[in-house]
Amino acid sequence: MSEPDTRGRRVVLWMYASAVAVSGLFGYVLGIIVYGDGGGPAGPLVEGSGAAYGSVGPVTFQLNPVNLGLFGVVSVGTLLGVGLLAIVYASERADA
Amino acid sequence: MASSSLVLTVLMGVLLVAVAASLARLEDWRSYTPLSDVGGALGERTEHGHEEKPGGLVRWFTTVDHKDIGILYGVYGAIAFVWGGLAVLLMRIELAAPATNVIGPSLYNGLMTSHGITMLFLFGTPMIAAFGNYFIPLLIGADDMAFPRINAIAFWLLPPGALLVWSGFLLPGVATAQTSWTMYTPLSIQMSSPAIDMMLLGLHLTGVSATMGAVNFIATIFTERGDDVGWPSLDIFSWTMLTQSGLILFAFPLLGSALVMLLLDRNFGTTFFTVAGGDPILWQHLFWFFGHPEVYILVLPPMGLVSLILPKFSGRKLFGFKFVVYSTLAIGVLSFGVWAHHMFTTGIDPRLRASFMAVSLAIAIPSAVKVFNWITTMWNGKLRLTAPMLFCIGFVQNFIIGGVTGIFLAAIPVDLILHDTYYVVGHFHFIVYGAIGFALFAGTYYWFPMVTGRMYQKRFAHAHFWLGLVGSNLTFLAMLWLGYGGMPRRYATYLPQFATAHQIATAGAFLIAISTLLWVWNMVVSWKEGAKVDTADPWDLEETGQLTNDWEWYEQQRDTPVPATDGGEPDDGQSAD
Ligand code: HEM
Ligand SMILES: [Cu+2]
Repeated sequence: MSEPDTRGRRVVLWMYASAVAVSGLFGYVLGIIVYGDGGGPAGPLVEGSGAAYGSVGPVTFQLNPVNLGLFGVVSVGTLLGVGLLAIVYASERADA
Repeated sequence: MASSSLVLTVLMGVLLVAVAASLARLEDWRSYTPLSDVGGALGERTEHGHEEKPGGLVRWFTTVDHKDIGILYGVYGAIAFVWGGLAVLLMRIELAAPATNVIGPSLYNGLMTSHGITMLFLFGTPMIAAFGNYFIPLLIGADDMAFPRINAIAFWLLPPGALLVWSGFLLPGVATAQTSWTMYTPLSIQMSSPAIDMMLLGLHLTGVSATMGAVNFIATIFTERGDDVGWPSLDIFSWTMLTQSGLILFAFPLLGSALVMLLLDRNFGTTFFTVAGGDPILWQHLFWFFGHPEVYILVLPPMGLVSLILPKFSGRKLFGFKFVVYSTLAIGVLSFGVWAHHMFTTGIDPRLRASFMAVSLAIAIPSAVKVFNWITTMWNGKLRLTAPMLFCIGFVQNFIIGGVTGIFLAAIPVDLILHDTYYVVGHFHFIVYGAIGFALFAGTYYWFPMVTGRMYQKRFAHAHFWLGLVGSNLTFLAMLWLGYGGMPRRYATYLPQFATAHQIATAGAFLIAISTLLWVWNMVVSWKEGAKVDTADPWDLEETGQLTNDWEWYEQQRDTPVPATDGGEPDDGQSAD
């Protein structure tokens, strides 16, 4: 069966992009349905009223859709980004 | 109760003897057993080995050919997958709305137990054995498995195993087993249905089967390799099967013993796991000492399949082959040191907990090494996005999500909150369906031309992939949301606020069901009337120097007019002394 060649890099970058996008989406929806849009219109799974807060090291932020989406994008983006850089580095060393 | 289960046991015994007796009378087994003695690897070859196989059904009931047995395993696994899938569809329909609407809680629990056990023991392990049986002898240049008849026995233990496991559904008037697949005591001792006893016996049979299979794989890979296949050139799938078989050898006999202890507790008044006089937590230790290795028993060979197939469509060799092998071995060893991460909330000693947490985090490292190697293989490659390749890519993507969510669960403080919620269910389904399932699908498409001589329908295969990918992510991401929201697992009903996420999960489950139908349809119809492949190298592997032994065997096979009747090449047999 003949299939057109696709450059591996393109596929890998797509995988990276979709992983980051999915975690952004995941955080956003989490913010809506679990944290009730930061104390706004109550989400289905919210407990108690008012905004909830979370923190990563020194940074404290409100748990709302946008912040959680951002958290997803940044954390997964960094984690997989480091992995991807390692892959690029290893490929250059090995295939050079 | 006791007398009815006794009657059932006797009936089952009579049935088994009757089947064995009729089989023995039907045919002269020995006339087409490739090896003349008791199936020993050293047996001398007789000319009988090249006789025609008997026709029709008798062939399938009497075969000891590794390829036939591989197909039997595959058909068996597919049937189990359909059963487990139908069970879970009913459950997901019930979960589309909060209250009890379609099925009651006890039927729900029965289906849930059946789904879990079926998917792990009757689909997962056998489907892996299907690939192992058919392709390992071809990949390593062996004539057949080392013990062809033990191979057949191992398979034929499975159908009665399935009947026993499903007995609660098959026998009218017997309550289904509702223990969940973990069979936690004391509940599993107190529930009185004979279906539970039969399920335990059925599990025991499948465990014996898996152990026999493992012994066979180990013996085959150690002793039956062709002259040109040394350890350094052993393919990656065989490495993972070898490691898996080692894990089976240590894990399944332990499960068997624990199951017998549970049976004794249920029927003979012993108190191993009872609350008074025994220790219910002991069951959890024994179960998970088997159970965690079991998850690697299920995931290592699929990882091997991906490591084998992904490079073929990347146009280059697997990056860091050695490290992939080492990480396989490392996972194999470490997997026995993490079982108590399933028991963080049971009140075990906190110092123990901490050490299990450390090992659990450590096991993520070899897993990450593999992901690193797969993606690096792709990075500078030229990819051909065929159906098997798409499933491999989907495997990697889903495995990353499953792995990352698993690492969080391995952290004690996180687990204390998320344990027994839908988060756990989401986590392991990314692995068991999103990764293991995908790799097995990749395998069925990759070898379809070799097994059937025909090509599958490309459009259906690609639709299968995309629907399966979207469906699984919808379903299992929704489960992660539910878990964060505090939805406990194993309930037929829930509070109204969980409805939206549950409905998303149900919608996704239907996408998965449709995609699975496409797969079954494609396999059956293309096998019968797909376009014939006109080359021995349908994937153009020669071009990139990746033609493995299995495809070379296929080439010889196509060139010889005489139908081969055993696992080896007809010419080869003659010249061997
Ligand atoms: C990357 C490494 C992995 C880690 C660190 C990990 C961690 C965990 C932890 C800590 C739990 C217990 C959660 C709880 O009940 O509170 C769990 C559950 C589970 N995991 Fe994983 N896991 C990993 C990979 C896998 C793999 C490869 C599989 C399957 C092949 C798998 C299948 C399961 C299953 C079936 C359960 C649920 C068991 C039950 O019914 O309670 N996991 N995992
Ligand atoms: Cu585990």
